[in-house]
Amino acid sequence: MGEHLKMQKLMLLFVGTLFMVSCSKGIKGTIQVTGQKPDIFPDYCDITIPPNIAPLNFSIKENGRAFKVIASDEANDYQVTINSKGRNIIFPEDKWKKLTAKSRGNKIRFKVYSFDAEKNNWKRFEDFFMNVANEPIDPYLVYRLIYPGYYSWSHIRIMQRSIESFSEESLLENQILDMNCMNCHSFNQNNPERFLVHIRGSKGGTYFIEGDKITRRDLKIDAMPGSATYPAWHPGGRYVAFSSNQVRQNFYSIATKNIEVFDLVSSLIVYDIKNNDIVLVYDSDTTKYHKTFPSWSPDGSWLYFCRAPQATTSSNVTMEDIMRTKYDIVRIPFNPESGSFGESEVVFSASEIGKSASFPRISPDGNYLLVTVADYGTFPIWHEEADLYIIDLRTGRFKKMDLNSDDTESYHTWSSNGKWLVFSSKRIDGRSARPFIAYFESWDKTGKPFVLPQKDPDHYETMLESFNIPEFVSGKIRFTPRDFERASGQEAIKAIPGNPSDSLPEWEIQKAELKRNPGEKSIHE
Amino acid sequence: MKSKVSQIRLKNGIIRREHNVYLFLGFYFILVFSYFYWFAGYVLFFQEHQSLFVFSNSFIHDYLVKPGGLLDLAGKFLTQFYINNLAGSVILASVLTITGFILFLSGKRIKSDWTFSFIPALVPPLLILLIQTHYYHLMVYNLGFLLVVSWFFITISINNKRVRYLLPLLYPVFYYVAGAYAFVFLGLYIVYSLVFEEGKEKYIIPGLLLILAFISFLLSKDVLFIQPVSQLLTSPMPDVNDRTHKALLLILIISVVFYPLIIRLTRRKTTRKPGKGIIELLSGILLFSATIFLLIIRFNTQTARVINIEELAFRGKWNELISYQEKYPSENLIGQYFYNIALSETDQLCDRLFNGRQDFGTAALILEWTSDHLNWGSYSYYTTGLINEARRWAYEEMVVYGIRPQNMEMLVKTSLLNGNYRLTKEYTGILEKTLFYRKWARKYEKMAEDTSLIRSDNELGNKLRILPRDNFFIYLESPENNLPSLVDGNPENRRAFEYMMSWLMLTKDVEILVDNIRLMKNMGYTRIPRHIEEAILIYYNSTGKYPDMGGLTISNETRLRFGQYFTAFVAARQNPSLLKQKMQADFSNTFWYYYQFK
Repeated sequence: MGEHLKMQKLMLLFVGTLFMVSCSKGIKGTIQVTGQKPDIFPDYCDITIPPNIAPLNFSIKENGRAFKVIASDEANDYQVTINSKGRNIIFPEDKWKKLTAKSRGNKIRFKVYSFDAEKNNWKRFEDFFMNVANEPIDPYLVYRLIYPGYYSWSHIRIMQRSIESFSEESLLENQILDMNCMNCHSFNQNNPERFLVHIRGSKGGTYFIEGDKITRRDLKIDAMPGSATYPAWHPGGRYVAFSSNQVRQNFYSIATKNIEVFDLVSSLIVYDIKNNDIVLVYDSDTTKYHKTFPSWSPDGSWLYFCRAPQATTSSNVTMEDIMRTKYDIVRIPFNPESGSFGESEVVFSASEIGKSASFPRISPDGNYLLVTVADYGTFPIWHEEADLYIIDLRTGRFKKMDLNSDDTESYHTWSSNGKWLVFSSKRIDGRSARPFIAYFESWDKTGKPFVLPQKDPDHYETMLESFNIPEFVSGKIRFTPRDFERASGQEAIKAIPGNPSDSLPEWEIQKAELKRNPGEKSIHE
Repeated sequence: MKSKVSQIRLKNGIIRREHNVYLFLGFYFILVFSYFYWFAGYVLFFQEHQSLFVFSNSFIHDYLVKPGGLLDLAGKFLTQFYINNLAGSVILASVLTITGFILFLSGKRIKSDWTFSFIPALVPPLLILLIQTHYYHLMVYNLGFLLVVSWFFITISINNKRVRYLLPLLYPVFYYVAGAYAFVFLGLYIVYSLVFEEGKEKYIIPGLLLILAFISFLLSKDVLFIQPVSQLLTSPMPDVNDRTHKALLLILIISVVFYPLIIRLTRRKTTRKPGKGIIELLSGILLFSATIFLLIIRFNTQTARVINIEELAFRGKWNELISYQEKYPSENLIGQYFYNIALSETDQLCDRLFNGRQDFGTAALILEWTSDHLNWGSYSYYTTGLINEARRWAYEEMVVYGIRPQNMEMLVKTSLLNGNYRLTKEYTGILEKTLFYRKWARKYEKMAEDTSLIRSDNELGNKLRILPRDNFFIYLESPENNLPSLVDGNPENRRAFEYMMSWLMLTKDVEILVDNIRLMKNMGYTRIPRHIEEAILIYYNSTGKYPDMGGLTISNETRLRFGQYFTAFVAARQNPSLLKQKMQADFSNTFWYYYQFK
């Protein structure tokens, strides 16, 4: 083994000192071969990309006065050469499209050179590759841009970004909506013509987009502990499940932790768009639970959600209470014809492995469930240890995915063809969430994730806002912020109780009425 | 022959009057420069700290997506030079003087025969100077007026008739650049046309401008920009919450808009009477005298003091800050708050707390969580080692007000202390894209690369030692409750301990205070700070016994002083009406005085 390593080192030394006469276009003189892959940002080495993605521009974090990158298809039939005096390698969009089209189902090879002015020679790094999958990705990604702050917010925008280009447009901007908070955009099966979003405060309501119409609705009835919060649109289109949460936040004193966002109370409701009524989701289990983050199975026959026993019925929730609150993934059968539910069953008992699960999302083929798993609590985006787990719904087996990092991985979603995942990761700076995309080939094989490409490769190094709730969309949304501004002038349609006997237990009422910290606003609800 | 003499006289009169204008403008420049360089430098510091100019695409992009954004950007670009008092004063004086000069040129252009008085041209710059004394009157507002008069001058300087008709077509561009200042220009040009234009031009060009202004607004609202209507109509005009400022601004706008009319009204029938030049000169002198008088009476000493204190705090000149506050006491909450922080940073809090005014009790120890205090609140948490909360305040400030020097510096330091070096580099990376904070940023970036430098840094090394060791949820509504947890978790954190003791003194809670004295020896104290000794003697005086002092003793000096206090109190008590006054004269720097009289 030792001899083998020694041999490798000798080879590397030999290669490293090997000078050869260049035969590359535009490079004159000798080339020193380093035997190392270049340090690039973002890290795009050996990733798997969709064939319809925008150019993956990157910055070379190596010394050099000039840089040269030759990207070619595997057969070397088509080359894109970039000569740059700066570190940033920007690919022309038309050439990139041609390159990815030619490399579909194969690889793109990247040859990287840097010019060392002191030694007056070129350095060639070890080539790296990108695998180009056959399956395309949904053409748009919708996310909220917000500072990962605490109580305060200023400018909040929900953006739609073309994944196929760098075009990014505002869908909503709170600066024309009285600076109110807006959140939880949710699509019905990636449909750009069927989605909803909450706007809070003076323009408050849940805005439903159906076809070419925006309707402002007030989804609050007395039996709900809070407002309608985390949504999930039933595939059939008639129902939307929401959790109704009373969310609070506290701040930790020690350096390794930051903030804890938790529910005082949370329960599930289903809104029937056709009848404009709301019913509470019950089951026969009499344990006092938190129920949150609903999600439908693709066939609409199951409602998945996160459930944890209440650590305390007291209004005074301590740090220990929160740390003891661990959510499992549960599902309950649903009959869309009658709008009725059956008995719930546990699908993934995260608490059994000492963890807590959030954001259940089922693959379009119904075979896999993806969840975020943290040590405790309900809001993993602030948990450094949070990772993505996958559960095979056919066998019940589960595992931590390979795409995780040492930093937070959280909110995730499937592409409409089930081959791509997008998730929030804080692996770049430990603070701001960025949308990472990964190829899902099978249970055993997932591509190395990569951050959503930007025209300016340094974009993520200077941008302090987080990308919040990345959602794939199958086409461009035709609405603009002004459309929402106009819709905010509508009288909100007030939902009615679907079941007059629905009521809130007294202890939940007490908890729901617990006052907030000074200055705390309902940013997460 | 006679007419030739008249012409020479006329020419000499014009030259003399033009000299007078330059004399006034020169004096105006000196006045503005002197005022800000020697007296009101605090305005420059304050404004420089309201924003950071970052040389990055994303920073600039945010200003390109709204009308008036370019003007705002230009204002921020110039404001960054306020970091240097000399440069700032020169820039400010230049911008204001040029505005006056262009107004004068406009008058000259309108009435090239000099049958106008140049005095109206002096009014707007003098008003701007008065308005500029308010620390919230930013450079962008001055640039707005400069842009308006410049564009007006260009517009009226064009002789080519076709170009004069085409020029209004640029109004949408002007609106994009100048924002709501374009409406001031619109008013100015309409007044000019109505007063001086003749024929059909009198109505056609103003009408065209009005139509274009309306179209520009509609396009901006519905198509081009995602801005609230109120912003499209008013930004970037000043919105300073001060009645005098608002009144002066209104007068300023009127004086600019109606400038052509004023020229018309003050026109002279002839320029041949040299005596009129003297009247003009005297009028100018009178205007300047009135302005200087107003500058003097409008100067707010207390505002100057508190911002000067802020500057000393930002630069970490704690000893200078303490001397300054003790010599020029600020009556402002923030001034007293920073005094207490300076005492803590120099480990003198419980020795010197009452050497400063403590008019606000505990409110000046830890600021209440409100948006009004976002700029400053992080400092008390930083000094007591509750770094997460210091970072949170700085971050909240950044979210609400944007990146500023103080929040970015706090974020850099707290991310280093919390061990998130990638984030440190992100913040220093932004600061490195500024003109004047890149050197500072490089120092801290090195620390992120070589973390041993953090420990060896005097300020950060000390903070590392007092970081919280116990995890607890931070109390926001009653922040004083964090202090015992900090002390219990980390006995090395003497700053949190002295903050806690100061809190107890300011709430006059002597019993709880003395109950904590037993902790001091284990915390490394070899002597009891003076004010705590004073509290012990109050306790002794009322209970007849000493608390557990953990082996520490009260100094003879304090005992002696307490005797003097007691004697003086007994003597002064004879005249109750003068009691407080007499005790204040000799003992206002003691806890005893605070306990009894405040």
